[in-house]
Amino acid sequence: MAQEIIVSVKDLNVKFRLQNQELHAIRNVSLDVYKGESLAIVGESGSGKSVFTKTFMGLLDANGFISSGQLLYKGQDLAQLKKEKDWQKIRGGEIAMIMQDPMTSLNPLKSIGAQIAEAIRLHQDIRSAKEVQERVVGYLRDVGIPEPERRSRQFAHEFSGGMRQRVVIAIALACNPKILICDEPTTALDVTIQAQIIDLLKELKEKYHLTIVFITHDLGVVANIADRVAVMYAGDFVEIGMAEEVFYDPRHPYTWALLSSLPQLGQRGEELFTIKGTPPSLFKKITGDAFAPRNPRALKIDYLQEPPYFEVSPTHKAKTWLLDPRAPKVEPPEAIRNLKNLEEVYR
Amino acid sequence: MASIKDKLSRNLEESMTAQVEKEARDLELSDQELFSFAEYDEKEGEKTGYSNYSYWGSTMRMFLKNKGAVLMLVLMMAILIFTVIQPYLPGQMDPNLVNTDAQRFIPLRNVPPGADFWFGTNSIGQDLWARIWTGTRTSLFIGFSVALVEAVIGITVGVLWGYLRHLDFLFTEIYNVLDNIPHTIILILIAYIMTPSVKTLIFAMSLTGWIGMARFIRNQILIIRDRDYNLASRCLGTPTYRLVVKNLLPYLVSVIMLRMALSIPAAIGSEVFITYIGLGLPATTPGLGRLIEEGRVVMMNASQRYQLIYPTLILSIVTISFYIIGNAFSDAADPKNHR
Amino acid sequence: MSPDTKNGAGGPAGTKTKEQPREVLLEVQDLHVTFGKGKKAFEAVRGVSFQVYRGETFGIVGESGSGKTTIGRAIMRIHPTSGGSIYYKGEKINGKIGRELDRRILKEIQMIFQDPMASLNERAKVDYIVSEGLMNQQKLSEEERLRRVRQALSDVGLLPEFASRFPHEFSGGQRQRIGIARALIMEPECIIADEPISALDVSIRAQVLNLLANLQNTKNITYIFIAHDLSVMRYFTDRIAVVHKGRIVELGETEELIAHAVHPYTRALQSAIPMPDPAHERTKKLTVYDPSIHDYDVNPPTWQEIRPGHFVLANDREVREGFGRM
Repeated sequence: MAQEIIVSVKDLNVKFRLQNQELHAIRNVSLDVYKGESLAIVGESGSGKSVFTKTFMGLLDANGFISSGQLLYKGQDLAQLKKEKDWQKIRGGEIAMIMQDPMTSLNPLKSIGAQIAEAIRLHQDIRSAKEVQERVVGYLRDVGIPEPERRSRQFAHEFSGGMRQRVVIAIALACNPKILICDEPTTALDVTIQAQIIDLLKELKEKYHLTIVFITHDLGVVANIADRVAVMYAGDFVEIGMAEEVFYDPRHPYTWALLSSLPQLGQRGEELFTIKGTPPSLFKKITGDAFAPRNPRALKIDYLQEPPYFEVSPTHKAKTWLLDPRAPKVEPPEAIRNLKNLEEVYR
Repeated sequence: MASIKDKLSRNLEESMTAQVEKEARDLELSDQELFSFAEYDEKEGEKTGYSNYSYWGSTMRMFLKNKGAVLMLVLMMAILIFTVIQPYLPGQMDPNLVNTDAQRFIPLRNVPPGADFWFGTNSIGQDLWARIWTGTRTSLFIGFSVALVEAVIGITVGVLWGYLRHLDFLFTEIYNVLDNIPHTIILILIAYIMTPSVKTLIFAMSLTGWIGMARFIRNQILIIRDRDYNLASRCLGTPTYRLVVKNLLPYLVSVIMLRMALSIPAAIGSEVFITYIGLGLPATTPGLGRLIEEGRVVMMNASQRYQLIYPTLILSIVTISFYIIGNAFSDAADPKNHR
Repeated sequence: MSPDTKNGAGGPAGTKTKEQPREVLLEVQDLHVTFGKGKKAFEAVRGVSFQVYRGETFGIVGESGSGKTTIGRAIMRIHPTSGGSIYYKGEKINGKIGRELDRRILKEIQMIFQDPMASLNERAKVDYIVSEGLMNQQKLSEEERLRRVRQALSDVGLLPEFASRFPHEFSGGQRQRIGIARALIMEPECIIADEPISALDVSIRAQVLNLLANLQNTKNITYIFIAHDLSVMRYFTDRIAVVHKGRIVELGETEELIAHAVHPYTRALQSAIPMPDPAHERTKKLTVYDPSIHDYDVNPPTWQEIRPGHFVLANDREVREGFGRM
């Protein structure tokens, strides 16, 4: 693919120190993010998907650190940044983030207009108060807030959950970022609002030429927005591919499991597919395929040796021994073989 | 929190991988075997391993980690034990005995600290060492008693006030009336009307002390009373008393402990105050208040300043230790800090 | 309402048909719930009526603030009702009720809460949490109590030895199953499940849904399933009531309602279902419900049965358009 790479992650390892133990949260991960794409990172809670993106922002908890690897952004290795001051140049202006709970990123004591104006003054070269106010209203209108002039004077608590998330997006936009990281931005919202926010993000991506990294535990949510999907398990990407490839032709048993446990695919009266057990502890060195203990059809080699990436297509690779020519043929679960014709179920 | 769970699942995985590894070595697995299906046990996934977590055990552990508080606790315990056993130790003097010179029959006034009188004597010749320990005993007794009464009445009233909604109005009105009478006036009035004694002081202080506690508990109960886990208990028909004992109070242990720990030095402070204005304990029952008041009188005289310094020192140690112990315990009792 | 109603779902007036093929377990008639008093009063539920048949799964779907949770909680008697009646097996259970009936309802109607992190008493052991309701009902020997706790735990797929542990040692999915065990041990006939899966990871949701379905099959439990997500509803429920701003706007059998949704709000919910199908998702046009499209000033809506068992709160024009789409 002849696309420009905006962020390149190379052999990244992130660890946390917890009471004399080390938790290996991100295990030797490499990934390129292309300019202007929207990349979805999907995984269960504890898979390390949030930690991964927090390293982009220098927002790791105090006991977390990058133990090795590179995070290249515009020729600069972000993994080497130590000072808070250096990070502040990256945060907001280059990479902005939207969290799950909008209240955590809003100041309850300031009108939302003032908060957007602050971001504009900090990250854009605009000084005249009138122009700033115009921009504030413009951003609010862009994120779909009705009566932006009036509402810019209101406070966060006067907005509903969905509207608050829109305000947070407006503040992120006002920083004029190149990359927008959305960390489960719709998980706490109703499905109707969730769909609207996703539509909005798609719209803004075009208008502001953003690169979007969308983090979620729900594969169903990202089909709409993602160009590419990276499935994360136990601090490592087990499958990366274009959205069509991952949804229509998934190869890793974990991706199968995530997809087939979606209630959207369930038939009344039939059991849903489930993933048994819990993710492995990252305190311990993982041998073999991390998903093996939860995979009913794991191979013996899965317990012994870590699988390499097998390339399915130039844009699609998966880390599973099932793709080895010596492996027995295993079919993906029935429920996910025909996702293309899914809408017929719902008319 | 997760660490216990993790530890166990880790062991489980270890044994699992170890087993397969061993098999592989024993059999010198061929490719064909390597790529055959491994055995899978569904039940294994559910096991999160065993932990022997206990609330009080973890609270203890957390508390012991706070070295400063442990030191204070040891110091406090030592003082407490010493005040109790001090009169029975050999060579202790009567705190109320006016010591006189054996030859000249004049009182040994303001004798500076030395071999005979470890802390010196006061202005009428009583042994300050004996008086200070007796006084500390009295003051601590008052402090503990008041804290206990406050806790019992305050928690009972606070729980009823906060939990039974239809009583809220009544209790709030009573509270408004009671709280608007200055506590100092009640304290002074009671001390004035009744015969000055330890009991009188405990009664007078408890009379108003519980109000603050009740209000505090009420507010705490209001915060947690409609949380989901309490709704769940109500939906199961759990009677109110069990709901209070099992669902509400356990959540308040840490804040109640902190308040109790702070009300002990507060009560001692009130005792000092009431003695200071002359309505306190009789002269034959020394409390820290009386001792400090006596010391204050001679404060300007440098050679007699020890009479103020010793009791004040003890008072400070007691107050600060309770404060630090209380805070440390309340942190330790908060399960959010249990890892 | 036509007299030959097959399924006999009640209208706002609470009309009941004489011959019912299925036994009504729970009936809600013109339910009102108001919070606050005087000028600050807020009516969360504004005249809701429906019937729940024994053994079915009745879904209540709506967005946050629609009053769906309040309806569930009114049935559980957490919130007092300000109008209307709730009947369980023909007996009125809202307002003041007798001791014996109270005891019976406490046993027979149970609730599963949304947030497994908030709904378990952190300071009590699983053992106590699970048997709490049981101890309120009857005196049991310690042996018998433990036996039933272990049984309930293994019924929900947890290991019996979990009884001696504290809730914080468990994952969200396991905690939710503890919550289910706590309801199950009472041998209930009806369980109100208030968004039991929305706080869980997708991979765990399937586990909990399977568990609930299995329990229904083996123990013939009636569910009132509350959610904001129509896709879960489609998979899990037999009939659905769509709630908007404290009113039921559409009610019908699940397949029928999803295939022939008439009310614009139902259609908005439907279009919001996220599908794991990129080609379809990217081209889909999202329907957003805008209450101002109704012309209710000139043409007020009525509660009407448009197809057997399928009711909608709409005016004639909307119904005509609805039929047009079919």
